[in-house]
Amino acid sequence: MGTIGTLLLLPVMAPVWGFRFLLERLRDEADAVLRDEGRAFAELIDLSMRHSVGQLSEEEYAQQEAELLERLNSIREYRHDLLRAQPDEEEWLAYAQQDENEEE
Amino acid sequence: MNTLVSQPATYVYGVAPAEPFRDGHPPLRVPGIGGRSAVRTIVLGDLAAVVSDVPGVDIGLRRENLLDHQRVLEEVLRRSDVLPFSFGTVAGSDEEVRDVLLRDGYDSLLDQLGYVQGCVELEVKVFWEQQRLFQEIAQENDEVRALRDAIAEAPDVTSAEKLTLGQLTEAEIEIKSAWEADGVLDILEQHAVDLLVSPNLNETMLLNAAFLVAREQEGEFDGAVFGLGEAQAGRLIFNYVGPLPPYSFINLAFEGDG
Amino acid sequence: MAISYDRRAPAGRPQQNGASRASVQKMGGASGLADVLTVILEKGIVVDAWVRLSIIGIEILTLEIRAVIASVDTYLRYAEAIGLTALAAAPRPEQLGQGVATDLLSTVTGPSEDEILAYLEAHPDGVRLSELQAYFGTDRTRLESLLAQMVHDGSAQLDAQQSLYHPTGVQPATR
Repeated sequence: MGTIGTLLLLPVMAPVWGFRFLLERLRDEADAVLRDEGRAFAELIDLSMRHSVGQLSEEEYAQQEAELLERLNSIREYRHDLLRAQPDEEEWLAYAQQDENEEE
Repeated sequence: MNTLVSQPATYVYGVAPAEPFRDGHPPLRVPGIGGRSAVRTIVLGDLAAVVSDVPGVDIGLRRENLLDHQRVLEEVLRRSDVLPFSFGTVAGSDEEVRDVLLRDGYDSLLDQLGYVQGCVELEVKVFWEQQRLFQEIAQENDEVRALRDAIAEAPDVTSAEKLTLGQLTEAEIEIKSAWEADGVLDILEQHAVDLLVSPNLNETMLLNAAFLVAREQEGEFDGAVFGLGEAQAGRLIFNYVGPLPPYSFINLAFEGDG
Repeated sequence: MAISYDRRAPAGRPQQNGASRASVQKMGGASGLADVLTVILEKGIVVDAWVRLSIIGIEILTLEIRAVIASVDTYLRYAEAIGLTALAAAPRPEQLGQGVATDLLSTVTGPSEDEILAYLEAHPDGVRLSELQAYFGTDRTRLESLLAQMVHDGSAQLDAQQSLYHPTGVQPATR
């Protein structure tokens, strides 16, 4: 969860690290989370299909499904945290402005 | 993230037209999430929010909860149209449901209900039978076959050649999958009001589609899916789920304070 | 990991309830829960901005299941699978061991019978299953099924008492 720590430091560190750099980090992190989530959903479908053609027993299915749901749960929580770590609109605009000023 | 576990809250399953839930109509006999509270409605004008009490705002992603959510909506769907909420929507109180959801969203919600009126969602996912797929590719594509044979006869096969074969195969899979998907859609969309195609979730999937179908057309739609399944038995596998409330055909979101 | 929903795989489960005809079974949302999870969790009415990561001035990132991207591993697996289509379609014995899928793709990642035979011939005193496992780095059940096939074809034999496999020096009939 390094990015959340990074984002919380935004007000202080933005001038040092660069607003754009942090934005890119945030976007990379978001991409990674969405990919993880996509993979978990894909595994759930795969699990369901294998169960329905008889490749898995009831117990195996139930156990693996529970694990996947647990994973999804953590991913959702992380996603919420990621969002909460974002500054609000005004702060973002202020940083963007600051960044531009510094480039001049 | 802190969770307020001990504060009672209101879980929202969906929003339906008020008519089937006004006084005088039978109550919904399905248990809410957690199994202990009754499912009830909060009515405002022509809208009814379907809700139940829950002990806190954090509803975990567990099979029981997901099943409860789905069962409530299925029960509602039996008697009425309903706009389903995403799993885990919890309001602080009934008042919040009435004010933030029903009152502020009144027009949008009515519009949405109008759009899906009389319809249900049916989900179709189509997969390849893998053996069949590769056999067909080898039969149909000369380049693939030639490369396959060349590799089989070569004493030292480099991974570069295998990679090329793999890439050729993958390209063929894309083409064949798109073609089959179009064929399935051509047939099924005739019985649907709207459809939404989503990305395929794994490499054997060739179609991942949700259909909005009028209730009176559901039987015909079933027939079309079963017919396709039989015609393609041994070649394509159909995964068919429904009827569901129209999750995929909703175009509104409420911005919260986050 | 090769994916296959081959219905010829060993079945032991009762059919689910719901309207059905031969190949397709229609399931309700509750009985087909795993199948509709994507939809229940990501679609429907969304009440807060949590589903979207919005970054001012840059595009809004909505949740979209990332489509599967083929990788080098995928290409190699495809190449193997195509390679297998060249073999005569002699059906393998139905159940060669616990949990062994009978589809072609299950033998893709691992040694071929020829490779195993070569190893057996290089070790005429006999080879244990565990040696083969260590050498080829593949899992036990896959090896066992290949060896069973080889014994069946006549190209290998098993000294059951000492659990050693030997080559027979006999060329298998169909190749």
